Amino acid sequence: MKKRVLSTILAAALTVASMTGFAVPAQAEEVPNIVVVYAWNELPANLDAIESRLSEIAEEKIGATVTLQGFTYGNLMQQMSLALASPSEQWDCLPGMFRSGLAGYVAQGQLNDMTDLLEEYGQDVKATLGDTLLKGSVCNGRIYGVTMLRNNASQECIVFDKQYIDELGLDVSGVADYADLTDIFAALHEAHPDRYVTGSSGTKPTLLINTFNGHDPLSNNLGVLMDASVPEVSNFFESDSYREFLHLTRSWNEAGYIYPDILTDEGNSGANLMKNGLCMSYFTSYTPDNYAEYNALSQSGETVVCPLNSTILMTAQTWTWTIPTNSAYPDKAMQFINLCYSDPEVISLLCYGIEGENWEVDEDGFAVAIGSDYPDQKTWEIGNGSLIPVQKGGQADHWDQIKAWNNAATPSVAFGFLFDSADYAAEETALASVVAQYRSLLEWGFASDVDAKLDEFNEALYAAGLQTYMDAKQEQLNAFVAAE
Amino acid sequence: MADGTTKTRKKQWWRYRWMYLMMLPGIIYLIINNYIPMAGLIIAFKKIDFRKGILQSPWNGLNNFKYLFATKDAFIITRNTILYNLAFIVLITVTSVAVAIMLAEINNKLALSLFQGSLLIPYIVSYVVVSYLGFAFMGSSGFLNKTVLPALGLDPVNWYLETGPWIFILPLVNNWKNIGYASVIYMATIVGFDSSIYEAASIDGASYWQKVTRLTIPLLKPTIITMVMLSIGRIFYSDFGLFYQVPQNSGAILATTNVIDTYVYRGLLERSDVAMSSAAGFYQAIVGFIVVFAANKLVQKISPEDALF
Repeated sequence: MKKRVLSTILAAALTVASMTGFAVPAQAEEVPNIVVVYAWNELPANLDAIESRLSEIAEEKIGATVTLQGFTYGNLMQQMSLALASPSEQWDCLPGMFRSGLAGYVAQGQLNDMTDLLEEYGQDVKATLGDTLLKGSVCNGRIYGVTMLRNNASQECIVFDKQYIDELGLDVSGVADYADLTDIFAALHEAHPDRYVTGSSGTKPTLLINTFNGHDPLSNNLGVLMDASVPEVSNFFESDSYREFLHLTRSWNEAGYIYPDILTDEGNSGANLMKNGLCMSYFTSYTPDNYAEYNALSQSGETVVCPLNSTILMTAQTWTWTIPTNSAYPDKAMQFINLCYSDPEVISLLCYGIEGENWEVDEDGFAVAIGSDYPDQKTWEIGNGSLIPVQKGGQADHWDQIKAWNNAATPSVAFGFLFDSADYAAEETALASVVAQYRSLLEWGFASDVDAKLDEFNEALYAAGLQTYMDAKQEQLNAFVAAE
Repeated sequence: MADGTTKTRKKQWWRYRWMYLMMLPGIIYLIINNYIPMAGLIIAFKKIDFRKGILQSPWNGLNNFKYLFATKDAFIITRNTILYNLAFIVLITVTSVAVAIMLAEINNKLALSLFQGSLLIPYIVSYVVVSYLGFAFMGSSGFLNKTVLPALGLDPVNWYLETGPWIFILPLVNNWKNIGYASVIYMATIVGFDSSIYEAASIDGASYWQKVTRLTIPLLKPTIITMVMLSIGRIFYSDFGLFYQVPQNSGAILATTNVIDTYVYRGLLERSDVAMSSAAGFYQAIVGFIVVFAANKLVQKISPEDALF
């Protein structure tokens, strides 16, 4: 009996077994073929046409054909971990989303050192970024990635749907700090009690995205520089200003301003809610003259944006062009990346699609989308978007505004510093778990007793090894500052 | 004598040759998919450098395992994993055996397929969908908060921020999702029972309840033991979808929803450290292996004829 049962079960399990496919290794060709990865919020419908046009240009300019692998943002992050861990996969140019910096990937030998390649083939990259921005992706003195020209500095902002501001005749020009928002929120809530006042651009986010009052989070807020000009690592979550901020957001939540499902709603970001008319504003990271993007996410099609607090230039690589170790032609890859900083046609193909088919230039010189085949047109992911016409909705001096804002940001004393946490992986994992447990909850004001919950948060952090982690960070930072 | 045994063996092989042939694809699959990759366990002890490859990477001792034990989370995730799985095993076994016995009594073909179908549907629904269903019930403007609780005169509950209810929600969801599949196996066994035993029991004047407790359940025992043993082998693994998607990855309720798999996922999401995740898998597999052996030993003690091996 027992044997029969077991064999029935085994047989059932085996029938599930299916044939697996075998990857055919790439043939050696005369013209090298490089694999270029690119990410969109939604893939262009004519990806194949874009790929073949891109390939033609690349063959002519750098002597290599191009295979374009398109991903959605979320998908890319998952595929990245897989592809970078399989040596048989060929990825030559990767504009990766490195949430916690390049250090971990470099330590595992997953990225190519680009320093010499950049010297040989990357003149336009260097000219576009300048020495300061190049420094942002240095690991152990070598360059492993190049950032794109975009909002390289960091600042927080709040985006209001303009219809509500106009309707109530509110003056938001004076808003420069979170505390200034309370009166505006109160007025909005009173006029539209059935709508939520505010949310965030992300799904299940923390309220603070990058920086708070110009503090440098040193990539993960576990040991930060409260004053970015002083290399002194301290616990951000223990600071008085953070406590005060949490009391402020608690008062917002109690007054009913905050979208109540913000911590759990996987499907709707605040931006989506605003587009649907459920939310009247959302917090996001600031980019000057970014109305083309902000307006698209509002119900009325018009927005008012208030930058909050100060601007800072810190090591926050997130999106970075890299050449993974599994690249077959690193030199061709570097040459292609250089095209993304110099060749208007390559740039426009990846940013807007095929000219005349996906976009055209209007009489004022702005790029206007044609049809809906290319739904996610943007210039920040490419390298140097300033070489092609500005997207409709922006201003003619869009890129001057961005560059001016980047230059005006105070560089952190730790700019270019990357904490190598390889020896503190146990602490980091435990700390990440504690942060997941408390941070969003506190920042969106869901803790009924802010002080008690915050103390509990800090105790849990120290129990998880925050002090050891911060000491190590401080030690490495001291060495970095001394070397500078 | 020895010669004779070999001959019988050979005869047996020949007699069952088609059976073995049928087994072949499955065995090859098992070897390729389950045995060859075991060599990869070595990764758990390496400090991986993709430039050098797996074998050439330097050894890292037990450092990759440290994060699983070093902190107070280690206790919480191990406790949650084991207790939830124990609860799941007990609940699923009891309820699915009960459902199987009841289903076996249904003679109307249409009614039977209707019941079985509706019980099986949750099993094939993805956990992402389940998480949205859960959200429709438990969101701030969900069914519970807008309809059920007000009707009972109770205040709305922020389900995704309260740790307490999840001790019941998770087993409930798990049971709802898996009961159909588990009961199919039990039902198939019950249907296969010799009906003459039941007829004999009826003639002897056994009541329905007596037939269930004295006949069906004892006859089901080997199946139940096999199924339970298979679940016990995975007691250190947890259903990722259930523990990650259904609570909407809400941080506030980690105390009662965090299990080994979700802890590893959250911790390594940003690090993408292959060696550390292998270490977690290694740990779960080894402990699962030991637990199965221990459980089998226990069964051998209690009822030797039902032990797996």
